[in-house]
Amino acid sequence: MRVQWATLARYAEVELGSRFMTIVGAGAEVFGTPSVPARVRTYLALQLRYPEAEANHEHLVTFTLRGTDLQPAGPPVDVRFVPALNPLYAPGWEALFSIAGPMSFTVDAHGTYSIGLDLTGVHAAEIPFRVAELPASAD
Amino acid sequence: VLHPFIEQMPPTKKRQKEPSPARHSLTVALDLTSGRASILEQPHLGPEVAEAAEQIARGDIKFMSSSR
Repeated sequence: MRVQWATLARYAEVELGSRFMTIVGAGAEVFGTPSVPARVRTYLALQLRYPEAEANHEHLVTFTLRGTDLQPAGPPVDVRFVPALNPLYAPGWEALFSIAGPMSFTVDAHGTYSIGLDLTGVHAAEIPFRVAELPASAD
Repeated sequence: VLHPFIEQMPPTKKRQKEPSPARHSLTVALDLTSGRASILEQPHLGPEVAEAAEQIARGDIKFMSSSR
């Protein structure tokens, strides 16, 4: 299994029973806050690809917030799932598995951060972003 | 891209994980401060996603579903 793409967004969810995602504002990469620590609320969307042989077996995706020093800035979050092949899956093709939804975390300083994605304990992708100081008077 | 969803909240620390059954896709709410995840079962039929977003913004996820 591999990460085909991953992004932060203003909104993201997966349509139950298909694998189609509704994503609004993909590519969010800067968050403004007048002071820290601050709670950041955003959305995550990612699409995974896997060979047929990996269907119906449990997989583990781990999400980790990394801080300005690239070290974990919070506890990793494990999500276990068992991908099922779509009825229209064509033999020989890579299958798709989509994950999306709201995400929240706390930052203690302005600077660069990232969301690390591990698949079954192996680093698979990193989504970088920045938390910038926003004047208190700004919208 | 300037993202508007910022709230001031103190950090907390906890962790929880559970397996889920076979499915084609997954909508999940992630709280990377508490280390908790919540699988949303019917995001397109109601306000489940918005409610989950409010819960994790408050650091208040109460469940992790493993049905379906």
